[in-house]
Amino acid sequence: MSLQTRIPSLVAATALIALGSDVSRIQVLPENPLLFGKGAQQRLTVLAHFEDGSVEDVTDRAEFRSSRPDIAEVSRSGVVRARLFGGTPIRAGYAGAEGRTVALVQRTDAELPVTFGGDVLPVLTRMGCNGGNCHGAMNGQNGFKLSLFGDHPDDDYRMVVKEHAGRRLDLADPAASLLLKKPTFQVSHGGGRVLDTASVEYRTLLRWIEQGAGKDPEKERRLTVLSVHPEQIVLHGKDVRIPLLVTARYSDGTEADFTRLAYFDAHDTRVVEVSRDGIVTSRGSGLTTVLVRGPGAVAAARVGVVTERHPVEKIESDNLVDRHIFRKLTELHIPPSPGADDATFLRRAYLDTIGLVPTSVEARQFLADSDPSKRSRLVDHLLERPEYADFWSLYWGDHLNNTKQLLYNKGPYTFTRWLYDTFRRNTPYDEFVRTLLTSTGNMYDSPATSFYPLMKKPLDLASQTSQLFLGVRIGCARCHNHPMEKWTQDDYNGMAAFFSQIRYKGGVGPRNNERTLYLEFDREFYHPENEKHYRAKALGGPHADAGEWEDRRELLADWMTDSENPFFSRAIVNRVWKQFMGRGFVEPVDDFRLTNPPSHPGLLDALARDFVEHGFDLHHLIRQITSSRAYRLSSVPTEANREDTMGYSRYGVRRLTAEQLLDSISQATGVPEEFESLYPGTRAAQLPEPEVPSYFLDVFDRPSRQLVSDRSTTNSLNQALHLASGNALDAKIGHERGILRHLLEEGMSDMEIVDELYLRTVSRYPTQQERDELEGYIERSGSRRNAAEDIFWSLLNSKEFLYQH
Amino acid sequence: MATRILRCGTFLALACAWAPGESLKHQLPQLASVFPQGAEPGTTLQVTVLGNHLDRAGSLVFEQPGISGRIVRGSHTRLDLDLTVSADAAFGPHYFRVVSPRGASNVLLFRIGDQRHVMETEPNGRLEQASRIEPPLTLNGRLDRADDIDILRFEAGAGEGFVFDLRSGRNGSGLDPSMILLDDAGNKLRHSEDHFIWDPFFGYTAERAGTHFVVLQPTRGRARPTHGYQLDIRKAPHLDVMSPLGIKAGTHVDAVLFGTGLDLARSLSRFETCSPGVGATMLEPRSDQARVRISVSDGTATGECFLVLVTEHGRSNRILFWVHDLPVHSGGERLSVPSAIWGNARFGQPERLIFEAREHETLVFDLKAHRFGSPVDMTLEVIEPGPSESADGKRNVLVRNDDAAVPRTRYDKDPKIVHKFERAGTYELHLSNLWRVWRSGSPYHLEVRRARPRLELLLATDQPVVHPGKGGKLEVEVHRLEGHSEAATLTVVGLPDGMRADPVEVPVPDQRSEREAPASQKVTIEFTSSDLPVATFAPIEVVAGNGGPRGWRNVRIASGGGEGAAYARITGAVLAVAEEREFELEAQLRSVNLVSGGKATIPVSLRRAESHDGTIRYAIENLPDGVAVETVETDDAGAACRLTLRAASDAAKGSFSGIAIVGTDSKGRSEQAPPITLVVD
Repeated sequence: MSLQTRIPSLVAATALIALGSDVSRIQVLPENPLLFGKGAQQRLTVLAHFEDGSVEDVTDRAEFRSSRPDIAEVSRSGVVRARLFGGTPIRAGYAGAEGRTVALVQRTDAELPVTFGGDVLPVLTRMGCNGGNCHGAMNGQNGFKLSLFGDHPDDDYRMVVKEHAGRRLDLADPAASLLLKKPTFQVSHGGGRVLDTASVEYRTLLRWIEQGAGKDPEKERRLTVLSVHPEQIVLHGKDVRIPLLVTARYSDGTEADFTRLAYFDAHDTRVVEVSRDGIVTSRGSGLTTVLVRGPGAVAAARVGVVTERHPVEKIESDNLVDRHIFRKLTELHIPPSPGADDATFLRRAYLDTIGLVPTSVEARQFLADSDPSKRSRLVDHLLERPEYADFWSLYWGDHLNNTKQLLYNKGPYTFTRWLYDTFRRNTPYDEFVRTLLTSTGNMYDSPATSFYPLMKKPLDLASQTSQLFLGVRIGCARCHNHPMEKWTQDDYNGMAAFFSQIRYKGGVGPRNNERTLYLEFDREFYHPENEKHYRAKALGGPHADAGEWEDRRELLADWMTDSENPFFSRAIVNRVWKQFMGRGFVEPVDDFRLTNPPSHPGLLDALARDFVEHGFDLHHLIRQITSSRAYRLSSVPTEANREDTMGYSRYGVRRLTAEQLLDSISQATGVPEEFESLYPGTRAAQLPEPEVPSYFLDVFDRPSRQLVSDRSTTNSLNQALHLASGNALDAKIGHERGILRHLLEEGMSDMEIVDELYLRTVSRYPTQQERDELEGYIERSGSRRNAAEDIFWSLLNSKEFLYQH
Repeated sequence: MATRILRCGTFLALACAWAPGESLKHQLPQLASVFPQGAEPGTTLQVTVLGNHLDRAGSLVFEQPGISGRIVRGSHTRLDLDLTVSADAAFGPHYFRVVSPRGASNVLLFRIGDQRHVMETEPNGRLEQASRIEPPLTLNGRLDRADDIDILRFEAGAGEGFVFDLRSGRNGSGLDPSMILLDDAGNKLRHSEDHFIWDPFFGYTAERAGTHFVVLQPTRGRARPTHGYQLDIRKAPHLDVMSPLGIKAGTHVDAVLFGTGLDLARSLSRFETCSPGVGATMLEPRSDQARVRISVSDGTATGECFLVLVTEHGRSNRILFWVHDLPVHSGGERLSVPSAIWGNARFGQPERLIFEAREHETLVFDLKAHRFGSPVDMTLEVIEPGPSESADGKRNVLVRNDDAAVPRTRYDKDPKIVHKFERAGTYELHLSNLWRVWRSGSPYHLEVRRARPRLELLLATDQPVVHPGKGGKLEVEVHRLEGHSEAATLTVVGLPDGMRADPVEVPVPDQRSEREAPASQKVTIEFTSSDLPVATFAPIEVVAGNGGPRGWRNVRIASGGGEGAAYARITGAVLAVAEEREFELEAQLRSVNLVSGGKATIPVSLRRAESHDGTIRYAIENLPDGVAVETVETDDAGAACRLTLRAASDAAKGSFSGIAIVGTDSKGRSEQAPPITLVVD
């Protein structure tokens, strides 16, 4: 058997470690572990960091030494065992380098008692007993029902200990308890054998039963926080293995090594896989997360993999975005694509900022301008255009349910105008959100009250507000504690309580469906099903007790817009980032959670801080992004960054939205789309509601606006046929008032017409090769007009036009 | 669209009938719209009125002096009128109706304005086709066809300001329009839709000189032939509300006017008011506010008063304020009764006033705000101080009111409480607004006083009819306000010779304490007929007692389809002698779809009075070009009729409302079926 077969990871890792690469440091994890109780143990991991940036798990080759073995001893395999109260440095040496940690030992007079919440429940979770396909299912299995992932420990205790006359436990002969015999398959068990009698987990359950299977509230502890070590790491090469260690913190302040009991799951198995024991193995390049879960707590590790170490040019930049992006790319050895040319940047900036391609005049002017600051000046100019306000009121209309299905006939019209005015004035974002949240009056005089459609109740508003403005989806917690995040039903109901004062008065106005939103200040929130009273409480924040005449929503707005709020500014930064870069730091863009961490947490936090410091100014945020080199990279991948999906090594290509497409086609052809009862020249981005009939927009994924999520973008045969063979393009290209007829009648030369068509569609001049080919095509066609129409049609059907790049 | 009279020789007999014996419902003439919707004083013009059942209309009646006219020609669905507006006609809305042998119609509104009036010219649906106008002016236009959009073009100098006020709903049109201002590059400068209920409005000052476009478009394409509008582009200011809202007779106050374009009043201006005893002087105009001094002389009658600002550029609209005779509250929480208090509405913590009430005393808490243009919706609560007696510990609210039940006053958001205090003591009054108030122009005027019992007489109709030989009835709702408890006698004034109506006694109601809703009673006035000929009419009034309150009705003026409507207070009624119906028609479809080159059939039902017989000839009014009736069929039993329409291949396409099927019997009596809509595509 070859060395390669026996030690595959070593060989694979070695392939990327330059021969002679020195160890730059030794890292011992976890840092400063706490050991509680007599005989408590903590496994250590030793990572060797090399000068070339690679990392290797050298635990099995390290030499361990405890300075005070009387306090805590450490085995050759790196397991620390507690002996006496105190602290002792633990050293780990490898290849002439040394790392250290300090073990702190407490409460060694006796073993910590086994508790149901802190010990038994994690074992049941680890074995999968309370999973959704086993006893955690809605009706449990064979009369044994546990809460999903241990969400309700009190109910689970009752089920295990008291239900069915306590037949699951035998306190007189603990080993004979069904709770032990079934999972070890000593008696028939539908779930098979999931527990070994020699395992630590078995001993935990046995000890608990031997202790009397009690649940002493004073001694009971539950899991509160999980920490994973290392929290983030970059692996170099394929099949490199790194163990993850998990530390649990409990409600009584104790900590323990939770690795054996944690549930591990890799988000993207093309990048890494993770074993049941928490061993991460690299598979392909990229960035991903590894979820770690226990009952009532979750954590995540961020893992990057570099399989090919490409040289990355060092980039010095004053720009906040560039400093973070290029540092990460360097770390991942992913070189960025080259910079985009002027024409590409021009078109990109127009589409990203105002949702339209530039006119040919605008394109000519920009391309002829030699001022080095023209790109920044262009963005400044676009931010002041009225189309900017249309574009962003469309965006927020999509997310704020701006449809007559929810707002009745005139609601979308007034709401759209209000959104337009808000973005036209560049209202600070915190003020925008506060106005929405705290609005009162009727939708005609106070359009912001459209944020509160009549049919949305406090429970709906809790979920919507969190998702939209905090980037947190708490919908799961409406019915049960969130399985992938820390949010509980209490958190959900605490948010709902901010909206319980809302009342509606209708029928006194002359307008149909006119209703007035007002507040009943002393109205509390009682859950409609369990009728329990909940005080207003923001996510992760304190209870908010309003004064006698105080609008609780004001308190929510205060908390949300506070500069220290962990969610608000990050959520909007993520949204805007995605709009310009094609992908959010967090995806989906409104799904921030511990188990879905951002790809660039440092950059996200820095942009969020900067955004707050600049008064929540969206224009400023957009300038920050668009002035970066990262934004100005080409979208064309190189061989080296082709696999990168999260590092922003190139601009993210995406199809134009329905409105961008239709408006750009209308502008390019000079033939505005006509919408029912709207004046000619009304653009798709200005439509107040999705019910304005337009087959084109519907085919290209115009959303119904009945959800608050981002719109989806599909690619379908229907779309292709509509453009290729439907009347959508032909009618505009051949229209008597269209630009093409005008160009032909003006006496322009063939190439002048070709130039104009290129500038109108793909915002650039044709290449020389394109010119030569098209010149020949026109000559051969026999009809100048037909040839020009064909070229125009081809350009409008080209990927270069249909996609943002 | 011509009237198509059937010459079909085969099927002119009609024998369909409903169940015999059922009486036929009387049908009054119905006016739907007038175009143009207004004019200047000192003009003569032709106007078109659309409606239904307008055949044989012979008389034109205006509720106010200043306008006269005659009916030049007519059909069941259309009247052409010649009108003369006298040079001294009052500005504002004038209401008119027609009278025919069917009776008196509903009223329509015709507005007299002080600006130059022009008519819209078509086509003007594209920017390049925009009609050139030179404001200030009042444009009379229509958005009466599917996809009709009106675009106007004008030049403005740098710093030049205008007020753009589009009236459609306020003129009784069902049109719900948008108004958009564009610059010469097509960029949107202003956009308004529902400022005055459905009518758009905005003020604009041009930053730079240049061409501007005004785009008028309907909302969601529900165009009808009755959808007209008036667009005022003026330099005269628009007034919203005045603060304070109430002024005591014999005093003067420095008030603030809130509105738009008030800086346009820098030029010499004066005020018109409701009474010679009320005067006003401009002190300091700014763009959206102006300080004015208002003087109300002693002896000026309490009640509503108005103010109009007249500048060299024209007149503003009217705003209302209230003249009262109560002591003005000087400030602080303690309130004497009676008192008048004024302030600005606030949200959240209520404004609190403390007052004393005597045992069994009835007090009135009457708040005026919304009715006078203040953009608020206030509530009143009377609180009994002391420990809460309720389980939840909430305040002891004795009585609360949000929207007073002032009878038939549309959309009155002002509260009023009339409460009899069982115990003497100290009480609190809480005032608050339902929504956040963002500006100081949200005034209210509150009167806390003793009851002033009075009656309100609400007429069930302003178009009562009397049939020859049968007489007629008019129901009146008598509202006893603020504890009115005396007997009353209602008499009718203005009856034509030969007609009588005996006085009606309104008995004293059972004693009960008046709460929020006034007590009301219904009485019926009966008219006895004589041999007055059909179409005789007279304006009448119902009066309580000798010189007491007169009966009125809040009339909704709407063009029979669409969102917009106006409301008018009409005092009295027009009583007419009307013929009884002999037969009636009804189409069994409300909407018919017809394809070019194809056919569609409309079933029509006929009901006759017992004594009616004979053949019926059919005509259809308002068919679009290219559509004609091909055949009329009756079944063997004569129970059903079917009209078949055919559309030529080049027939006009679109949705056409107001299609009227008319039947005429052998005596020349005709009836119209309710209009249907025809869709040709």
